Amino acid sequence: MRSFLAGAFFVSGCGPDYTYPANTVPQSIQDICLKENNLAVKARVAGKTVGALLSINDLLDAKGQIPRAVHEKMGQVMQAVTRVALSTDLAIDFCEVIVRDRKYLNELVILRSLDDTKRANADAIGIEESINRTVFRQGKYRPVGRGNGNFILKEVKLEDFLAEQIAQRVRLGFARESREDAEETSSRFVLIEGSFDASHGERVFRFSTLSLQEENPHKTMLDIFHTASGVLKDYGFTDYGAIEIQDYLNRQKLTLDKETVLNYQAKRITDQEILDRYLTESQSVRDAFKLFGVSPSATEAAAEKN
Amino acid sequence: MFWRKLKLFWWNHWVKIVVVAWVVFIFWIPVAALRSIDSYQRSYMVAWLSTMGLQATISAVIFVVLYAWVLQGGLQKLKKRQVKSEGVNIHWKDVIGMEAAKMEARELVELIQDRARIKKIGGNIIRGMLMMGPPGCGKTYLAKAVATEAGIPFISMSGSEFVEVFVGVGASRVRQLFQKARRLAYAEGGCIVFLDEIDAVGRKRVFSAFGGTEETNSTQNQLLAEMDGLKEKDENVIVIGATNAAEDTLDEALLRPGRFDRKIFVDRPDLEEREALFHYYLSKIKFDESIDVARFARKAVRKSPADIANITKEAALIATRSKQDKVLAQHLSEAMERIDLGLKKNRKVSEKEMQITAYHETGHVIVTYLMHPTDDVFKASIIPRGPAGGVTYSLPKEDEMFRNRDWFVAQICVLIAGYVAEKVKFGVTSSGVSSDFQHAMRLAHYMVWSLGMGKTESLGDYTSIPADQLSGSVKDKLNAETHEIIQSCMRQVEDLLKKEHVIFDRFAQELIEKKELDYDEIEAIFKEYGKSNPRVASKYVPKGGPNK
Repeated sequence: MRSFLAGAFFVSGCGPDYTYPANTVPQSIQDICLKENNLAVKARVAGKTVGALLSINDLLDAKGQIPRAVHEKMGQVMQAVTRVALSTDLAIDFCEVIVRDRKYLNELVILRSLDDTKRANADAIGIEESINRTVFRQGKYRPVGRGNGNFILKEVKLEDFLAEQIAQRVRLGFARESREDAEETSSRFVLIEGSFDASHGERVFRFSTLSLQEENPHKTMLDIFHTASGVLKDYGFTDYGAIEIQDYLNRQKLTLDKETVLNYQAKRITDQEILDRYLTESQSVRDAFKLFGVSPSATEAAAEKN
Repeated sequence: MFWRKLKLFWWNHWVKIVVVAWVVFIFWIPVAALRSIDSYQRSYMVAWLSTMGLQATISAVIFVVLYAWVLQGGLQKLKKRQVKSEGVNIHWKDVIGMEAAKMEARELVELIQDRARIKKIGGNIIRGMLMMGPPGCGKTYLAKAVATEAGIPFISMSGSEFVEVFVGVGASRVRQLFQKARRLAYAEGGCIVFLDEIDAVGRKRVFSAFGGTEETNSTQNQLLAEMDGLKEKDENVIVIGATNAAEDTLDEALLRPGRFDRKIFVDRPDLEEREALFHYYLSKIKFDESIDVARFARKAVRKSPADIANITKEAALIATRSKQDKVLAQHLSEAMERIDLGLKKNRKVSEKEMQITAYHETGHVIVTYLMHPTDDVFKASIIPRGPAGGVTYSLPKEDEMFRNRDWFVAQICVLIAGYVAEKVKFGVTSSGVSSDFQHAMRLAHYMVWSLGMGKTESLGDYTSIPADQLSGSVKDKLNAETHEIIQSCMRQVEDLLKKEHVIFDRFAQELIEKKELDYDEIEAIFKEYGKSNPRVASKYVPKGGPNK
């Protein structure tokens, strides 16, 4: 009986076989999308990132919104990519879905960590947190080669993913606050960009922000720092040297080394101590123009108003 | 030939083949289902299923532990009701009255103390004593006295403490109780287990045709087994049970010799005992020495010691509210009335209603006083109490075991006297007679149908025969006799009230004026018209005479 049970489990696939072997991953994604959702996609693997491209005719509707049908297709492709990524022996960390508009060269990118998917499956994180951990990117693309179906998939590094996620969280958080405080004149408007800079061997998370109508500029700095610290703690990411946050309009800069961030996470240092010790004057407004591509005159006028 | 062999094989082994095929099939279904899904989902599901097994195991362990704990008593573990004999401290002298029961109990104590001597002679040691009787008559008190006098520990439990929603808890508690009693007996030389309200577990067992039994059956079985166990192990544990249920409601196995060897009936106290009880409870409070305790003892007929204790407590409360420093006779009187008749109502009564009530109650008073062989009127009142507009408070001289035809007739006369009084005085009657009529009819029916007290003396209890087996003529005859009794009583009462119309009017006017008349006032009015109480015995004449 024991050998029968062992055999049954082995036959059922409890052994070390994978549904999608490493060499079949892109093709499997394409097959699943075609067979189950009737969607023609191109799939690629780059390092530990697997991605699929879906080309459609209208990414945005007349109001500039993403139509519901596109949302559904996007979800179906992400489901197929995730499904294959979960059941393969290929080491995958990130799943990416790119939806491109053939006519207007607009693109929407959804990026998600495979570990986050596993956490969500196991109910270790809720739906809202799961959405917060998914990076959405929108922009223009340049066609590669002939035809719209070609694309180059870049491998995603965890630090870049985290920088993007932190910036997105701050953006969404401030947008939500602005909606809640819509009737108040002091609502915040914040532009933020996040990146991970390892070019000078320093490994720094950089967050650059333009914060308008700010009555308490220190609060914005702290909010960004809280978000960054929380995300890094949640992911247990420590392979960095510092976090740098610059508010160009309010001329302030917060630079914290890893030790300080870890101390803050361990509640050994307070917000006020961070401000007292690490808040300095930032670069001028003009230095930020290049970064955000904002018209100098408009920004300066806003800065003067503040 | 091959097919024949195959068929033979099938006939011989078809059950095994079907079972094996079924097992393979039911194993194959999940295997096939798992194979059809992605490896990640498969691993996830297998992992999840394995944790399910763990969860089920943990749940099962928790359930088993909890169930075992509940069987051991759980939250309601056997309460520490063990009391040392010196802690009880109730001696024979504190047990008032119940001489017969006390004598039996004394004997039991002697047997407990002289255990060695009895064994030497070869006699059987008493294992149990069952005390029966109405509630509040001192069964528990007597048991405590037994414990004090025997000088051994005393464990008290109520029968209801063995009853729980969980199956097996009752039996478990019985085991715990006797285990504890045995240990105490081992250490202290003996132990008394007192099971109050033993009828909760000692009722006749019910056996189901389907093999199931009630939970109380297993509790009782355990009790029987433990009591038998005492005999086998020769431990000095005596079980005293108390119940106010009738003996025939208890299980026969419980009553047989060797379990409850002795049965003591602890009855309500008689007149002398009630007087002693009044003295005992009054001695615990400050009271007026001139109180005629004998009269209150007379008034407290059919009352238990607990009732008498309650009356004295209530009297003390009334005295406190009246800002008196001691209990007076009027306080005791008021306490008794409050307990027996209920609180007075402040309902406004019209002049006409008051008159009708006064004459109605007067009818009851006169007929009771002049016709009733045993009952005395202690109070007449036209102050509303409860649903009644007025009340005539009469009590028998003493509890009697048997009642004769005269008593029944007098009782019916008293009951319908209110109706007759209204009819004689006003020509019309009110709805206030309904309750009186109900009781009167029931008594007359009982006399004729059950006691053979009808005019033609139709002997036998006709109520024991199903109604459809009685002929119409028999029923008609019995009903006619019942009717005749009522009519006869009515004529007697009417004659009496017409004859005594002066006293009748006088009483009614007194009632309208004073609203209430007490024993002494009633006696005085009758004496004024030359009517003496035919039932008064010299011992119970109030101190200083009835006019006091």
